Amino acid sequence: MRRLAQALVVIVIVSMLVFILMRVVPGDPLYVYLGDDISFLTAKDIEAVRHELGLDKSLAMQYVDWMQDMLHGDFGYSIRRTRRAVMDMITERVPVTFHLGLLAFLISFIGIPMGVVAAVKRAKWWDTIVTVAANIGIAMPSFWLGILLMYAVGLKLKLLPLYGYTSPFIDFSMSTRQIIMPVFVLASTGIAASARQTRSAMLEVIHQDYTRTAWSKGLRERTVVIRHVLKNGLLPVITLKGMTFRNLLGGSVLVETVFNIPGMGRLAAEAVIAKDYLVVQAVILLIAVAVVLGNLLTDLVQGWLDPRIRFQ
Amino acid sequence: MKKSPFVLSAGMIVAGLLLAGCAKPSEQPTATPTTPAGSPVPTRTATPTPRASPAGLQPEYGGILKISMDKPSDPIGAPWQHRAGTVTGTAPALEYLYRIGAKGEIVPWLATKWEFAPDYKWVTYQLRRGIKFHDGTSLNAQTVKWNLERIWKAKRNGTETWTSIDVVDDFTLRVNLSSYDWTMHTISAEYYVVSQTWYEKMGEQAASWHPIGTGPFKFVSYKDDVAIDYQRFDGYWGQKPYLDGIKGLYFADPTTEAAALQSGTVHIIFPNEKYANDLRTLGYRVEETGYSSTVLFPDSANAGSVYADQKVREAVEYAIDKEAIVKTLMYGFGRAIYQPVAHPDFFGYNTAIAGRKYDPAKAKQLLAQAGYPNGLKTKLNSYDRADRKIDAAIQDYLRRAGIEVQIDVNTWTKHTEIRRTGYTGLFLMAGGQEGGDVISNWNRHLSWTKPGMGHVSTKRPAEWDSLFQKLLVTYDEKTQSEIGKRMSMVAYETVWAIPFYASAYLNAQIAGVHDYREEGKYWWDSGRVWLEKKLH
Repeated sequence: MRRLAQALVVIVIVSMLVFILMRVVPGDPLYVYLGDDISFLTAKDIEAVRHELGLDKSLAMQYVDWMQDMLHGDFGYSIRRTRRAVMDMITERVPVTFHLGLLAFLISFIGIPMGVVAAVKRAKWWDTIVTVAANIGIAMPSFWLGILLMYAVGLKLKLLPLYGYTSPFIDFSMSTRQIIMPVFVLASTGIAASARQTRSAMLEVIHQDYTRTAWSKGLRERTVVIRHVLKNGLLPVITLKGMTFRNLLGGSVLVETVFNIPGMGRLAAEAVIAKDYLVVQAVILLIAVAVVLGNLLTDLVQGWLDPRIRFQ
Repeated sequence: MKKSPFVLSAGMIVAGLLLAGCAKPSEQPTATPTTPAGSPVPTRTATPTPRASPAGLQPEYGGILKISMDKPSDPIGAPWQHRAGTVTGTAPALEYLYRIGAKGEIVPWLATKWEFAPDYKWVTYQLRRGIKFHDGTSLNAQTVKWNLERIWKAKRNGTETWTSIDVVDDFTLRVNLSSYDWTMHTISAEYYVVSQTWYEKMGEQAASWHPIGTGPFKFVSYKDDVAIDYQRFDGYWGQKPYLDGIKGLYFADPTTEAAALQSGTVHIIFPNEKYANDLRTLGYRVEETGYSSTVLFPDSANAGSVYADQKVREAVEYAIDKEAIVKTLMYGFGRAIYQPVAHPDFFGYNTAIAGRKYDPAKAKQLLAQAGYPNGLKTKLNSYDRADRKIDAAIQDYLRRAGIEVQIDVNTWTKHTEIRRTGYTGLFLMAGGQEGGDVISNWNRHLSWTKPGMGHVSTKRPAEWDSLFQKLLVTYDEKTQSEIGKRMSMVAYETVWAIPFYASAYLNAQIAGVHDYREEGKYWWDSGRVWLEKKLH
């Protein structure tokens, strides 16, 4: 209960911060709403629109109005000239981002066995391969990897579609072919980070007394590695995975831009540039909820792994 | 029998009427205007160019054209909600009363004829008969009136002089005016006509995203950030389109867009200069189909501004090598400009203007004469865009002439805001599309007829404003042309704004695409395009 209450407080604070930030950033959202062709509007007309949008109220009142509407499921309308409902814009993109994010998240767990192998076979060629690959995966910019894959695999070898997204419920085959490259790009950093973190954590635990005791007892290597070393070394890795949970809803603007995927990342980036404050606020709030959920899940898993945390 | 000739004649009359009713509506021929005293002012028209096949090739029917498009920034089915300007994305489905060509010629479209009262207190539009919307309803005066009233109620630019709209008969309507103003042509040429029946049936929100028009293609679906789909409309009033459909694709990244063209999954894209150059090198056809001028607006209206002195403004123009910038940073696409109008083919271009060509020594000399022998400091207000290297080039050229420039880059939103609220230094702005309705374009980007709505920190010469007011109320083509050329000369002589370059609207096509754009026209007639069988 305490954690839930804390989570709620975090969400409220995030909502306040993003609300204030969007108001503080230079540029009047009123002129985004009105557009360029406003020579026919008098100052009185313009102020009438400001009143209609509620922008003449105090910041506190605007925040209260917005939160009240949000709690009733009304996310408002984009102030860009398209005037689309924010809820529609988000619900169109969440499934796309979730689909890609979930696959990338699950695939990134491959990094854990890679890290285990690297730790167990330390200083051997397995370790070298995994470490080098992990470093490359972390250092390589995702958009560059995306463009490289698009060029090599899509354009030159013609093995996969270059861009786009199709729902798996509409055309499963095309959907699968289209998401291979973007999911790989999204997952690559996660795989690399998981491998490195697992390797470091495992190496720390491998030299502990209880591990030596386990070896001394004559247990098999697999039992020692998995039940004693990995289980204790996984805690920081789980924390790391929990931090990437937000990508399930937040998306990645770079990957979505390169592969032309209509996801939450692109929506958020375009909304920030256009100062579409209602869209930005809604998206950030959603990401905050994802982060809070991710943290809760992380705590639960850590509690399962380590009974000491459970009792704390 | 005496009845026989009568019956025969009646039969011939009926047959003739039937044949006339079944025939394709003909294009309105051009009339050479002569105005007897008291008669309405005759229509200014250009003869629409009949569709022609490229030499040696016969157009083929079929195929779906895949074309890259800009994501719509306005609701696609609600003309009164969008800014004036051609919306390429909806061009396949939606049409206008008429179009305006590069030299200001008016091309009939849904309206075949329009007449102004001798005192310009009204204009009547005669509509083409036999036109159907995609929902099966007919285009008539009542529907057009409904469209125009909504645009008028939304106070779109060009409706300020309207007083009322009347339906004269099923295919004629009259807009009553307090006075004549050229910008009213914006409404007819840049706001499309949609089905009133559909709108009232679906409601505002749904209809805004499901356009029902009269174009050669009917709307099928729209997916935000993905694509817009059209299907051939077999009930089209004009020549039947060649394509089965059109798919407009939205690309967020120019690299992906260029790769899509190379993979053949897109037939036409609109690359920036760099990608256009790369594609041209690879053998793709790259066309320039129009220009958008970019101008430097000095803050000459600000108290104490260095740009209040014309010598300083001239120095800035002499200091920048526009030709080199176009050749290198723009890869040769576009043109350096020395007057407000980019191209000799466009309205207002004055061939008597030689231009201030690059001369850094002259720039320094002018600065010294203006009282700045050691140079000066200034700011360049720019905005976030693809060709920002040009900002650095401006900075470098001006530095060599002794002008230290601090570049201030804003988002587009902020940039357009400070245009209205005030700026210091130089303000870089694209001037809008050349070709098409240049006069309305000048109104939006150079002049702004309402005080405080234009470049508020830039002082315009009184003669420019006076000429522009005169231009707005002139209907005669010859007089308009003379005024336009004089305005270009005034702009050159006073340097109230510093012309910089005109970037080209570029498109790149894969082999097998034909007739995307008609020479000299600045709108997209989607019914003309056809694809060779290999692309079907």
